[in-house]
Amino acid sequence: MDAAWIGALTSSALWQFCMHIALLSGTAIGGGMIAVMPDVHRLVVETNHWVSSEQFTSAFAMAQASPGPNFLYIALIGWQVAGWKGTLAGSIAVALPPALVCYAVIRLGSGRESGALQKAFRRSLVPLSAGLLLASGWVLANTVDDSWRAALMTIVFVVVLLRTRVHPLWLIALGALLGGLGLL
Amino acid sequence: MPDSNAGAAGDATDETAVANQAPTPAGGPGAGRGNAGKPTHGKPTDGKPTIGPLQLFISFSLLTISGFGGVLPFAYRMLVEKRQWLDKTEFAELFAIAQMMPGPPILHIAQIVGHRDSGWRGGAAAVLGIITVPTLLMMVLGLAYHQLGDIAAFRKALSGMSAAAVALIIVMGIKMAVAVPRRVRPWLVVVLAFVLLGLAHVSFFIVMALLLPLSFWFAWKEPR
Repeated sequence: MDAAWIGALTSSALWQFCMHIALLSGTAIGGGMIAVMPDVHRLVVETNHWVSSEQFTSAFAMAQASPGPNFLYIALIGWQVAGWKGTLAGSIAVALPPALVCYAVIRLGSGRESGALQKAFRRSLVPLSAGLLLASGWVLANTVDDSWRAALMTIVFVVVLLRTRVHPLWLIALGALLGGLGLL
Repeated sequence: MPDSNAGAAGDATDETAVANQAPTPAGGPGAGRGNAGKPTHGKPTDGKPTIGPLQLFISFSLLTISGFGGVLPFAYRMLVEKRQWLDKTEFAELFAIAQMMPGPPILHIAQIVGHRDSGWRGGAAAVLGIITVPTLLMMVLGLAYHQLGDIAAFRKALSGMSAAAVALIIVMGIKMAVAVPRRVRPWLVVVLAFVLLGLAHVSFFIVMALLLPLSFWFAWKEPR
């Protein structure tokens, strides 16, 4: 075994993608993988051009519209980066670091949240999550809402979601319909 | 009063879960508020046979498949209402703990529940249950996108879907922002996080390294 294959592996897009995702998921406190979306976008679209902006947002929309946890949009972006291997590796990269952290927490038995320190920590996450999620929404809206009609639809849907208890899937279906008919 | 803010935070996190979903029971303000500091009463599985890794894997697979647009509210329905592996209070506490750990909260909830019953194997089985089937589904979707991506109507439909999906994220952010205390310092954190990540495109790690200690310091100094 020489080091050539190691070099080839570590310089591959898939490896870099997975390492970055693993780092993000292992540190993404207060909002999960949705809150780190701007950073993922920067990595795969802006810096490395592995996927186009359209592919990125499509992956996100498809993951939202299908059963399963939201954070697996990462796995679908993994598909864009390296096919089915990318999907598999993306899933592992998202799930493994948090699972190891969780295991460590369980073993150390520090899962209590009664202390003043933990309460302050929890409180400190609220403004942070709010800012991160709003930033994610902003970055995504900038790439997705490429016409004033699309932007208007997003704004209307925000109001509808805030005011009613309509199931979000209906809105996604409506968006698909309006888009498919070429009305956006 | 001392607990009001923690309650608000609990609401916000529940809201975040709900923001994405249907009219579901999702933890709900009732479950989150005020229960945070109270001691847990013993395991709900007392006297019941322990749940094996295989059953955990199957249960969480079924859960994840029913979770359109997010799994958390469905987790509440399954864990608390249907299988009664947890009671309301335990779910709220588990959710609060999961929130403090990095990564998706649903994974931590699954892992802790699994671990409690079958050790690390149970935890692993529960986590795999959450991600395995959806990962296979993502492969199918990736293939579909690859095959159909050139059809104009398909692409337009997807971009319409994306414009709708963005609204979900923005609503999550707004609901979380509503729970932020109306004081200068917490809102300074909100604005800084938004500007650094959203406008200045600074790396997430740098943003966290700067703002997590700042936010914690603010929260620590907050009069309560």
